[in-house]
Amino acid sequence: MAVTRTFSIIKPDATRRNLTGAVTKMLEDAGLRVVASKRIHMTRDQAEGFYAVHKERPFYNDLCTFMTSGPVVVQVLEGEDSVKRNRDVMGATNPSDAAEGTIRKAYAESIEANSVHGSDSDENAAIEIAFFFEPAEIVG
Amino acid sequence: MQVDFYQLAGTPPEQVIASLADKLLATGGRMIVVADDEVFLARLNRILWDQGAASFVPHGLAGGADDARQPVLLTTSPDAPNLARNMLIADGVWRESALSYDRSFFLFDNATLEGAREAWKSLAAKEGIERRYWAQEGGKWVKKV
Repeated sequence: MAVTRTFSIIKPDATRRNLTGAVTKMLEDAGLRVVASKRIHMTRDQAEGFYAVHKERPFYNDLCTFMTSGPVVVQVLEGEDSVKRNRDVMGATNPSDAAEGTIRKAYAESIEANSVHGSDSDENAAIEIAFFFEPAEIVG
Repeated sequence: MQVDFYQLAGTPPEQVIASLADKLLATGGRMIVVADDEVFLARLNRILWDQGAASFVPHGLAGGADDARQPVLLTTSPDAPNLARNMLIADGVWRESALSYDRSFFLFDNATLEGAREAWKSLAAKEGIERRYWAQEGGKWVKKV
């Protein structure tokens, strides 16, 4: 299995609840390595650029408003089949469908803690990583 | 039309709503989510940006300029300006307007159990309505009826 990279965001609700470390530990326990990480407060321009694919959708403004409502932690994760691995550790939306060891299973009673974005493909991971990180900032 | 009764047993309704909306959107459908409590809807509005398979459940809070285009509209009204054919009742209070949709989801818990029982019985007397009842067993949703 090839070692690949994916992109993750720990969203405002999780940073507000001081869960950056807890979420990151679960990512690492799932076999992913954090090869780049920074805590930022997204600007409106950054949020609009990152979600530009949704620009014509009716929820675009609200989504950008939410993502700029507090600090986020953007990360590059590395590991075998990292996109799927990251999605797997995020877990199913419904905690009753989520497997043991997933973020959503662990925090089933605390839904704000499920506040993680994960790339949905290798192609989008590359685009998303390039949006927030310079190559020199990624240290494998 | 079909009405799915979901009896919550400790799982926050926001999570169940996110999951049901996620699955419905994957089929190309639209939905309205109805509750009388605007504070609850505001909380749900925020939480749905944190749920969903990859990142979020696309949605909007009713009253905006784009209500007619929202995939999932959170509202206190039983009307669907977004032309949804699916309605989710989030607060355990049955509404007959749910019957004007192709499919309705009715979430209730122990606090609203009596009302759900009455709704279940009243629907039995109506023609053209398929009732389903889902309960959580061992963390899984199981269709009981």
